[in-house]
Amino acid sequence: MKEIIEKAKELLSQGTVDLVIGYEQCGDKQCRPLFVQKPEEADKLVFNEFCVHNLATYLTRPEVKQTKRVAIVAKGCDIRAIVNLIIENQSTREHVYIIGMNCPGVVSGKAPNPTKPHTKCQTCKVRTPQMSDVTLGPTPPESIPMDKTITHPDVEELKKKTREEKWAFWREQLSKCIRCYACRQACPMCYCNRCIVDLNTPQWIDTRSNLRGNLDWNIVRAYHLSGRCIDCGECERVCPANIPLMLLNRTLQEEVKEKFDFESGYDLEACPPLTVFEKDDHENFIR
Amino acid sequence: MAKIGVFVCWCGSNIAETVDVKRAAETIAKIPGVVYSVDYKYMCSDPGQDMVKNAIKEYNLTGVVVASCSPRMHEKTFRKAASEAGLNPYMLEMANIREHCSWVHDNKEEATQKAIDLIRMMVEKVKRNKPLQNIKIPVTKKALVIGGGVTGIQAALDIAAGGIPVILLEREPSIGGHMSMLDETFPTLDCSQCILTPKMVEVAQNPLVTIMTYSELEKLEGFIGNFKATIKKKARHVNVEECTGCGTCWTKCPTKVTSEFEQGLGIRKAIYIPFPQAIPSRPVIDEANCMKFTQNRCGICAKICPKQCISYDDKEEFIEIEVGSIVVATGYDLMPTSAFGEYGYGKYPDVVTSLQFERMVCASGPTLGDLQRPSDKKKPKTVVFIQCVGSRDPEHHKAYCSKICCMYTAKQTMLYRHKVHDGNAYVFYIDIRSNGKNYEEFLRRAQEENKAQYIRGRVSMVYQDGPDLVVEGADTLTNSQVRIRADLVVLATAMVSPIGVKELAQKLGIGYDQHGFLTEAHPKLRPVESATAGIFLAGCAISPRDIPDSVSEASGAAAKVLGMLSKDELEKEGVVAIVRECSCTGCQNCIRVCPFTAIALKDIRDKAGNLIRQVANVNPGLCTGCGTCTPTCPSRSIDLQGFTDEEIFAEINAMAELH
Ligand SMILES: Cc1cc2nc3c(=O)[nH]c(=O)nc-3n(C[C@H](O)[C@H](O)[C@H](O)COP(=O)(O)OP(=O)(O)OC[C@H]3O[C@@H](n4cnc5c(N)ncnc54)[C@H](O)[C@@H]3O)c2cc1C
Ligand code: SF4
Ligand code: SF4
Ligand code: SF4
Ligand code: SF4
Ligand code: SF4
Repeated sequence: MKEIIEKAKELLSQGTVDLVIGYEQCGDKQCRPLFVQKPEEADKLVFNEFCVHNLATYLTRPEVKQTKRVAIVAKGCDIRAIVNLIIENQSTREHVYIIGMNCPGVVSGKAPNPTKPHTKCQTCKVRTPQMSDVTLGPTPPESIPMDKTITHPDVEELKKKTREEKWAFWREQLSKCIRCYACRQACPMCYCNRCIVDLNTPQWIDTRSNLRGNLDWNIVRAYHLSGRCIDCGECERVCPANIPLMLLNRTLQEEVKEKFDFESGYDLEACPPLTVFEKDDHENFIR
Repeated sequence: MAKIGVFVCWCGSNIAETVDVKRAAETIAKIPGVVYSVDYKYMCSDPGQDMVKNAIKEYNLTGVVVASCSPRMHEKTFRKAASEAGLNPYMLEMANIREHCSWVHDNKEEATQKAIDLIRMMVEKVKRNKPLQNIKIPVTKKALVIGGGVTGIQAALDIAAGGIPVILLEREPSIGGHMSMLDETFPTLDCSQCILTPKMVEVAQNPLVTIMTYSELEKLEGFIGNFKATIKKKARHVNVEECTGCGTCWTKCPTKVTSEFEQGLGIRKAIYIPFPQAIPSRPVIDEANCMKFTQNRCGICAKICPKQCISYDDKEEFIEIEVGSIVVATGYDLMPTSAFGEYGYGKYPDVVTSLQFERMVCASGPTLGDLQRPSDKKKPKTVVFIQCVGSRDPEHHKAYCSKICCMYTAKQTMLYRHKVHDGNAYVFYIDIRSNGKNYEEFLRRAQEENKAQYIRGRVSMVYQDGPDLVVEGADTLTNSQVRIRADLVVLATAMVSPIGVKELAQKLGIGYDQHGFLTEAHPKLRPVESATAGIFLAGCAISPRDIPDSVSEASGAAAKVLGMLSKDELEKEGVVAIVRECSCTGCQNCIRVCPFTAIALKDIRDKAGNLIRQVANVNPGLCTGCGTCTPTCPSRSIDLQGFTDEEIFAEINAMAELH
């Protein structure tokens, strides 16, 4: 990936940025985040189908925030997270230099045996990055049109279940959670410096890893992400308990799309609907 | 260590009949931290309050729970008593065992158990309560009145009479509003101009009143007692200080424009005053029509003005003013009549609106009071008045009643008969509403002395037949079809909120209904207040009403303003939101949802002045304690003092414990 290496070297040596966040190869079928502060370290940068991580999650880390300016290697889907972070006052467009990647799609599943392709890629609307300072990589396959409403097959399946079946399904799934909070750590939108689960006066969320505590936690997190989750799939990828977290997230995002005609991360001017107050908000949920 | 006193009230038999108050008091006495627990017949009586005061002193109470009626009834009473006994008033809570318990249950055993639960919840809350201080806010002793109709004029006069300076803001070139367009007014038939003009002059001459015409509110910041308003003064192109109102300019201006004031029935010039008695009597140039602006020629007015006060280069100006209180009196408009195809408005020149009719009969109108119909200047021998045009028509237009059309239509039939003694006036109506002082008598005069013929029913259509109009409708009393040949048809069109009021309300942060009328804080008990502290409402801006009602409300709103501005400081409850800065991420959720724009971002800087991060910051002057912000914060970094998470959580736990 000569282009990225050259770009990173140029940005660092000219002093445009003091940090480049990108990917390096580690093993055949895996990449990992790479933080480059000196031009000579940039040679390790790569971009391929194993670059699945959403690096935007690092933008809210204090060390990254303290930089004068940071460059980030970002796929179109990762840029959705950056858009949200800017809307939510966690970053600014000026602070981030976006090295946008034309993206043929990434793998899903966990190393060492990822299977192709990632479910999010099948519904991708931004194979060509929508907002970047420079766009690299060969022309990608065509994206799904922006105005098309996506329904995920697994969400459709879930919807067919009765209330009781759904409840039983989620109880079973969520009972597996071991409360490692890896989902939260990987999630670019979970940037709170004190998550509600860490609050103990009062302790709204039971921290025990039992069904009750797990329901508290996973439902609250899903709710905090509704209208904000950008479908990167990082939470599900890192979850050691293999909980289908994306099914939960996507169900909520489809709900938000239906109720508010909103998809997050595409428009710097549009705030997540659950975080705004409009005089003419509809009240049809009040029964 | 908490020392809580609990006082269980019987409320006569209101509570005691359904709740075993003795047992409740005894059970509560056993809760750790409760050092005193009694029941009494009437806690709100003087002896009852004395019990609270004495116990606070005697037992050194750190918190009190009064278990009685709704806090809406007596929270103030008991908090005052507590503070007289030296306890911070916010350390007293009420458990509502009347409305929430005895009044809604009849099983005494269960009601008693529920009462005990409700009291226990409040005991646990009050243990965690923190003393709060009321908030003191300094006030700017100056008021702003928006809208210069009769309502705004009256409000400005009354505020000034109380010694408070006031700015009267009007977006048209002159104050006066709709009343200046009317001929004579019901129910006394005094000439509208004759009673309004003296008021206009009075307000113009009052040294405490500053009139700003041709100006609008651009932006409002701040809060009760401390508003900062930015006013946009539109470019007038005339130096009002120098101008003497001599009229040379508008006499000589060659550009004729249809007059808004005359409702399209007369003409004015491109440089104009809207009507002879206008205040200020200084013209404005209408940029949309003046040839200097449209074609860059003419320029006559500047050449002939003896005082040289015309400047085509004037730009709009923005002026910042500080006021403590605001009255909104933006009045009404008539519904655009283009909506009524069936009545032929716009198609047939002799179908006019009620306001046009006022101008047609008015001595200062375009025909100087000689009633002529628009098409051929003929004196109309038969006039059909149609009421409720657009009102009371939920399917097509407005569901509400415009309230005054019945009365002004009756008036207009009289004004008509005064001009045409042998004329026929027909009125189509749905119901007649004449419920004001002397209104019914006035209506009867219209019907009996002036022979107005009232037909109950809707008009289905109006069409032209030769020089005449034909009005077809149903008479629902005789169940027959009626067809009347008329010379003139007058539509009593619905009164609607004027253009731009919603935007204005949004700038002010006050509520409006689906029709754009402004919403009162309480329709019965706080009719001239908006829900935003310090902003008051009056006149047709709230809903359609007549002059007497509008003027009374103007005085009411002025009294509210004076009451507020009579103090040097305002005091408000300490129940306001507070941000935990250490965990706030500055995500702005709370800022976006706060309905009172009470939250803003605050910069956190290091010693060297570098920006480290931003956090939310609540302005206690603006915060109403509504609590909307708290559940919106993902990390629970904003809390409502007096209802903190910790306090609420303790309540919930207390309830959940035994169940
Ligand atoms: C045909 C007709 C006949 C009537 N006859 C009678 C009668 O005989 N007797 C009677 O008692 N009542 C009568 N009325 C009712 C009477 O007109 C009203 O009650 C009265 O004029 C209300 O006064 P107001 O000041 O509230 O509103 P308005 O007169 O409408 O004044 C509001 C003022 O606010 C200004 N304004 C609006 N928006 C803004 C803004 N955003 N910024 C700044 N300024 C703004 C407007 O330009 C206007 O000057 C009649 C009404 C009609 C339609
Ligand atoms: S990553 Fe999985 S196991 Fe860990 S807290 Fe999240 S849901 Fe639970
Ligand atoms: S919830 Fe999961 S999919 Fe959504 S933004 Fe966070 S990590 Fe990505
Ligand atoms: S789960 Fe909620 S509170 Fe916790 S980090 Fe994510 S958004 Fe913040
Ligand atoms: S309590 Fe209500 S008024 Fe106060 S800051 Fe929160 S949302 Fe705004
Ligand atoms: S919602 Fe919470 S975290 Fe966000 S700005 Fe407000 S107080 Fe801070």
